[in-house]
Amino acid sequence: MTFTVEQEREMILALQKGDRRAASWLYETFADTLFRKVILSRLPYVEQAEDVLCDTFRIALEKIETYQIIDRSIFFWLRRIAINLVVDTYRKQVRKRELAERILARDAVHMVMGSRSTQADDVLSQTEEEQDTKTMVNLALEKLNPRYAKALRMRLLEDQSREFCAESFGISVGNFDVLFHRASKAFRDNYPP
Amino acid sequence: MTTSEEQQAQHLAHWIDGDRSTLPPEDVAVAIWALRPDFAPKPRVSIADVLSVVRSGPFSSDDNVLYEEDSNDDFVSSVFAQVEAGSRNSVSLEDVLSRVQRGPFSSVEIQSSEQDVDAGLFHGVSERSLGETLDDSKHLPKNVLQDAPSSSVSANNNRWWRTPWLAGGIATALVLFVLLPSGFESPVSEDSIFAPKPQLKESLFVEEIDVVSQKPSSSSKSSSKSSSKSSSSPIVEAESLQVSNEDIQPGNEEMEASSLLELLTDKGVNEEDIGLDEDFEPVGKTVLPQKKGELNRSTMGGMDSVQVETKPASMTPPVSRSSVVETEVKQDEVAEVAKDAPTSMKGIASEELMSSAPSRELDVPIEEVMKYESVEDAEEMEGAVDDLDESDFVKQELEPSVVTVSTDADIQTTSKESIVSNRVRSKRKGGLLKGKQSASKPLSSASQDVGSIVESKTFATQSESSYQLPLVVSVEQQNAIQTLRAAEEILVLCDAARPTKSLEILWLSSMHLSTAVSIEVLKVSAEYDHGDVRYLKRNWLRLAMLLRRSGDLTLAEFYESQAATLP
Repeated sequence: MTFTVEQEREMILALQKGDRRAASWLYETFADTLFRKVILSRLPYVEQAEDVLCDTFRIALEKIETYQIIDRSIFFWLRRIAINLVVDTYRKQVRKRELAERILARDAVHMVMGSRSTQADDVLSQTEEEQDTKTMVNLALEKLNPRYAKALRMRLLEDQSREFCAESFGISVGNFDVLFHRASKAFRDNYPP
Repeated sequence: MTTSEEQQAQHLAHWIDGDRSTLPPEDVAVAIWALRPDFAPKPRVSIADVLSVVRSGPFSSDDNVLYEEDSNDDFVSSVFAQVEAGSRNSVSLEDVLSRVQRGPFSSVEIQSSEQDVDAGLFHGVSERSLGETLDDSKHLPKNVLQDAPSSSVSANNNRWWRTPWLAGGIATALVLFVLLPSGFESPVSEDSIFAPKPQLKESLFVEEIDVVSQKPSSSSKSSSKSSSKSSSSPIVEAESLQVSNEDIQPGNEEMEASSLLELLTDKGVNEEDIGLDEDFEPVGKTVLPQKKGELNRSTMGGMDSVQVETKPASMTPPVSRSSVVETEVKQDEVAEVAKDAPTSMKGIASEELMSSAPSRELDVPIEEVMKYESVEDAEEMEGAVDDLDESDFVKQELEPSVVTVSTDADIQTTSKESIVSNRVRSKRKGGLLKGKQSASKPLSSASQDVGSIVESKTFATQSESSYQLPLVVSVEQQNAIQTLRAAEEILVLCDAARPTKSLEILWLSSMHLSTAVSIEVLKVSAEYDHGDVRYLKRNWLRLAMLLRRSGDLTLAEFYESQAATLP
């Protein structure tokens, strides 16, 4: 779906008037990207991520009258809400409060330094958010055993086959499966960084 | 690597390759969602779900929801109907005016006010409203406005001060007020169920102390037997000699014979009536030793025992030391009864046991012991005592070892906590007597025991000997490994196809090599991380320890974290 900032502005005006078709448009346009790129990459637990997604759009629709139209996509406003909700989710867990603060700090840096795009197309083209996610993934992989990190990179990021990866490691496919399984478990303890 | 791990790994591999009908396990899903969010399922949230929870703003649907609820839910509507009906004003102006006793709206003055209306006294008030009001007052019940006298015109039928039970209650209170301070006791008929029965008095909680005469034949006689035999002594026949605990001053643990005699005299018993034998000598080290001669001056036929009853005073100390001595003798019996008795009886038994236990043999104050009234509480006390003497000591003793042997956090915590918890658990299983023995055990010896065990275990963790795993390498290979001194020679023996065996070889070789070479060898363990995770973890823990010894704390922490991620 391609649209310009002007088209998006018209939809926001409709949203502020309570047009349910506009609400449906907003959700269908940004929900999936928001879920996969913003929420799930920071809160990689499906049920919690779904709750955050629902709350994100609930807050957005409740506060849509206060939204001021600027020369930037509404996606960034939704993203801001979603990240705050992710941080709130982590803050509720005592062990992950530090993680919440790290996410918040990293996002603040991203807001100031990273983002240059203004249009929704840039966001939906999966470049900017992917880059942000990759940064977090690389930070987590650096903390892993190098072989674990290599297995995860080859299998998930480079999308290599099991056989190729096993050959690269000089082990059997079964052994590589075990290695990858352990790497995935080890990754969980270091992510989000 | 275990079979279940292989199955999980295989399942994950197939899931990534395309069979995504089910979600992957949560422990590995984080990596997949983070690295490949496109593998994640679509969110199960629709725009309808979102709109249903919106409560404010232009998309708020509160009004619609309330309207639908009101119209569809019969139960809710009926509840609201009841509330509305209940909130309706059921008090009319007539009721109000009928209860007014004073002022311009009192019933007498209402009649006169009818005349005042015509006189135009109410300026500024519409005549219509006033007229309506007074018209209403005309319709008041005639018995209220006409028949009743002016001072009592009221519809209030709930005058509580006129109720007959109030007079009865006041009379009863006055009687009690007069009689209670005087200690009045109404005479009770002998046939009454409230008649006092001395022999049954406090039978359950009586703590008997038999002052047994020196004669063996009479020492075993109970007071009931003596009373039945001593028919010549009417006083003793009627009731056994009893000294209540109230007559004994608190803190006087050793009741002397003179005080006992005084008390008996106060009770109206002559020394002759006591009739103790001349060679009477009590059993027990404290009761009546010096006053034996006074007691032996007179004799009483068949009266060879003195029964001292003590009420189960809650916090009073034991009556005499003899009670302690005798209860100590019965301690085993009581404990056995307490074990076999039902729960309700256990409380009694343990209470007797605990209250009569000599406090000086415990290292905890007797007040602490008295707090625990049942067997379960006694076990808690036991645990508290154990916690006191063990955990505190362990804390003091283990903290340095935690610092020195911090390379193996898992092993340390497992070994130390399991040692202490096992000791506490085993003691708690030991029962009451065992618990009391452990409670009476000196703190120093108990702590020394724990300390020695913990120290030995801590030493074991230093050498990883507590991390016992089955040997994969044969004895001949072990001997061959011990002869090797160069890292290259050892690495030749390793094979990626046999990762667990390779990990074992690396670990064995590190046991007799120098620290530097051992570190070099153990680092190769990462290449065999598809082997058995226990062997891998052991190698990484040892590597971390060696690195810490050599001063490379950063790398040591890295391998510790790697080991921590392993199950």
